[in-house]
Parts: sequence; structure tokens; C-alpha cells
Amino acid sequence: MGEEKIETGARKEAIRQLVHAIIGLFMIAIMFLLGRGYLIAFLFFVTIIGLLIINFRTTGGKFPIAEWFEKKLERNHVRFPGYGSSWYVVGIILMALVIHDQNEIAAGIFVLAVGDAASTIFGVNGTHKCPYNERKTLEGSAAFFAFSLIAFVFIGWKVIPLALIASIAESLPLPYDDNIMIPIVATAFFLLV
Amino acid sequence: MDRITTVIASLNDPLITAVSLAINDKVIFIALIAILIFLFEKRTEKILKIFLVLLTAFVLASAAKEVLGLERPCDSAVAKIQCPDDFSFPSNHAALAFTLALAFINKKTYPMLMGFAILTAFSRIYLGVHTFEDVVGGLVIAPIAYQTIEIFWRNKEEKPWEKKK
Repeated sequence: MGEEKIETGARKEAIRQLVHAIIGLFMIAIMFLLGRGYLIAFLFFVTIIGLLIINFRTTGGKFPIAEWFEKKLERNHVRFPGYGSSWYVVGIILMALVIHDQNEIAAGIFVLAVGDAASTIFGVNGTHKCPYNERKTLEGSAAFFAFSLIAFVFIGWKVIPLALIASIAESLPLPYDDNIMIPIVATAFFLLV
Repeated sequence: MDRITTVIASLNDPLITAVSLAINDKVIFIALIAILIFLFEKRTEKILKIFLVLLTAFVLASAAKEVLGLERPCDSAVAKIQCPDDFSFPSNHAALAFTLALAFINKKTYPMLMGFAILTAFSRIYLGVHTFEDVVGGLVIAPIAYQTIEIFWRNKEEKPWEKKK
């Protein structure tokens, strides 16, 4: 019974991370097909509508599609429905607004979408706890770094310091959600480098 | 300049201009925000928290303006008012309005406050002092400011220094 519950939880988390990665790749595709401006405009309207749905749900409103997503994809014990996804969208907007080079934005989104997803999927089964954060594992950080390196196709060798810094930031016990912490770090990296 | 900015800035309507000029006035705008807070929130502690979040949003937006140093659209194009001296990105007005709306995310008054935030953002582009990206920047500042104050607030409520070992 307990094992079944754990398996269901792990399966839900794997699906969640898969969706997380696919949405990120979809954002990259939108940007390269339509341009950075369209991505920003699209995400702005998504945020406004998303926040209205969150408000509707938190004030007791019934919205079957949103409830289905909450049931299938939402983590347990979140502060409000759509908490993680709100940060995810805000994080992508932040990168798209501040970084102007499309390849750099794509690399940032890729690290956030694929690196973070890999970190969770591989980190769940990890056995070596991170020395400064007991909620993270070294396997998760290594997966984050390794999968982020694929963003080499966008920015070349600059991906190594980016992946390293982002994987460290992701592993830190900071009070901000990973979905905003990684974009802040990526944005700062591209502004400085 | 992006298409949304161009279209909104090219509009010209006396009523929209009057509303936009009212929002542009710092005293009126701050008074309006204060009235909305006191109208929709009665708890003193929550009011204090909202003011702290708004102050944080203002500081973050002003710092981002200085760090990024992006020129205003009115530096190179004609605006409906005199071009402000500071930098463009992100919009302080939009950051404050979206932050105010976000503070009421779990209340029935939220759609109205979001409407006010969108009107504020629209007015900044309409007057020609900001681009669409500047006001979206204001939207991004809002949750970061809120989360920053939330961390301190939670620590204050939990009083970690009083915890027994």
C-alpha cells in the first residue's frame, strides 16, 4: 500500500517534470519562430489569465480544467494552486525581458526547463545528500549540470559556467522557488559575461 | 519599438488622456493606491505588510532601472507628456499597481485591482513614456517583491530565535 502510494507520487512527479520540460521547449520554439517580442506578449497574457484563474480558485470558484491540472500535476502542500507554474512563467518572462540575445534566452529557458526537470527526476532516487541542503542530492545536481550542457547548441562553451552556477543555485537552501532562482542567476550571468 | 507599444501610443482620446494624466501624477497615484488598500483591507498588520511590499517593489524597480539603464521611448519619439529624466525599464507605476493587485490574489476584489493595474500599465504606454516590455517588467517585479517580504514576515511570525532546542 505504502509502496503503491510512493510509486504514484514518483510517477506524478515524473509526469510533472516532463510537462515542465516540454513547456520550456515549446517556449523556445515560439521565440525562434515568432520572435522574442511575441514570446513576452504571449507570456504576459498567459500570466494575467493564469492569475485570474488562481484568484477564482482560491476564492472557492469551481474550474474543472484547472482542477484537473491541479490533481494531475500540482505538488502537494503548495501555498496556492498554480504556485510553481506562476514562478515558472515569471522566470521565463524575466529572462526574455532582460536578456536580448535569442540564443542566450533559449539557453536560460533550456537550463530552467530541462536541467531542473532532470535534477528532480534523477535526484529523487539519489542516495548522496547535498552537504548544505538535506532536501537535495548530489545525483540531482550532477543531472542538472549534465543535462544543462545540451544548451551548448545555443551558446557554445559559455554553457559550462552557466550550468555550473545554475546547478549550485538550484541546490542552495534558498527561500525562493527554483523556477525564479534559476532565471535570476541565468539573467545575472548573461548581464555580467 | 514593438507593435503593441506603437499601436497604444498612437491612440488619442481625451478621456483616456485625462485618466492617464491623473495616473501619471505621483501624488494622485500614491493617494489612489493608499485609498484602495484602506478600502479593501481592514487588518492593520496586513496593511503594513502591503506597504512594505510596495516599498520593496519600488526599490527593486528603481534599482533595475539604474542597473539596466534602458532609454525611454520618449527619448527618441514624441510623447504626450514631457519625458521623465530616469530610465525606462521597468515601469515603477506598473510595478506598484501589479504588486497591489497581487497582494489581494486570494480576495474577491482582485479582478478589480488587476483591472486597475492593467489600466495603469496601458496609461504608461499610451502617454509614450514606457514600452510594453517596461510594463511587463513591472509585472515581474511584483511577485519577487511579495516573496521577499513574505520571507521576512514568515520569520517574524515564527520567531525562530524563540524556538526551543
